[in-house]
Amino acid sequence: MPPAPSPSLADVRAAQSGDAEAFGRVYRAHVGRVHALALRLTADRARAEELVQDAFVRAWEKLESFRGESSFQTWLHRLTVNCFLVGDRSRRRREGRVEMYDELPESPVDHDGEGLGREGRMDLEAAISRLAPGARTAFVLHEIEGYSHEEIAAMSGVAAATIRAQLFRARKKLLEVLDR
Amino acid sequence: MSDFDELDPRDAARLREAVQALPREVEPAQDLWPGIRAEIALRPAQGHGGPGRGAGRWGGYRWLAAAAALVLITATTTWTLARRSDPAGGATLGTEFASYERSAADLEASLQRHRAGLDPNTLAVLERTLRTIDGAIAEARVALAERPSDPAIQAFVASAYRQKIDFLRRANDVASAIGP
Repeated sequence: MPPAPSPSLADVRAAQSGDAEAFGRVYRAHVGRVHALALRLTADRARAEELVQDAFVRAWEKLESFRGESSFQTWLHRLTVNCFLVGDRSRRRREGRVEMYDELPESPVDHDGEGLGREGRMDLEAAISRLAPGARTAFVLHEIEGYSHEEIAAMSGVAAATIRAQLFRARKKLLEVLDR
Repeated sequence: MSDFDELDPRDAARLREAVQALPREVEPAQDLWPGIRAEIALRPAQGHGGPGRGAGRWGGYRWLAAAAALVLITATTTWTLARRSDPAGGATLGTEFASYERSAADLEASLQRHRAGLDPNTLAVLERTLRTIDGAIAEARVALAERPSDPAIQAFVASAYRQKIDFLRRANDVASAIGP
């Protein structure tokens, strides 16, 4: 895969002025990372693609609020996470799921064949996708995206202590997979 | 950033190493940009007055957005008004709906001939709007099948068909004006 084009702040600035072509270049530069994040958060290809679309549409709507205080990538990833968390809360409400986020069963999503897993061998990526949703979210946001427990708690509306417990559970599960 | 403190240091190192080996970018299986571009053309963005500002780049299908909004507003209004009134019985509805479907099929066939000349983004918005209208028609037809004598549902189905035909006529006008 060719490397993504270098994200240009000039393109971001042009997009802020309403230049959709520039925003297209911003999309090209960032879509790989945003999709990787979306895929890990959702553990579902279709939902990941929806999340990517939602995130970039939302980014277009909110571009004015990007002031350059953090990197554009940081800003975009946070926006993607917020889209995910808002959508996830709505989805769980629709599906009548209980709010004990950390006690949901493990994801039944199967990633064998083409995709995250390789030739039926359980790798870390596939193992992350099989974590319970709360544990998966906590692990992805903390260990891969670098958010603190407190940041995750504030974004998700889940207590920081719960986030720590979910992380602990996720690490144990993933280590079991690595030991196989 | 990461706190594997509650883990055995060797386990923590193994897990950290596995996390760091995860791909930072995963490209989506399909190009999501056309859908995003069509979507942002319909949405105002903060600060830059919306995508319509950018010369004629988006102007070609702003009318589609307006048409889509009109479809939804008109259909909703019709539904509401129909609930207050009592339109004529549905004896001829089958014939009427069949006539709408023939007209719509003719117009869609005509539009199909102009597809090649349409901008992909215009086409995407057009198709999405048609899907919205078709979805409304399909839902209303299901409701009508359950309650065939309900005048509100009868009126809603007829209105949705008329909106579809009106939309297709305007789409054909534009497509024939700019297409080959």
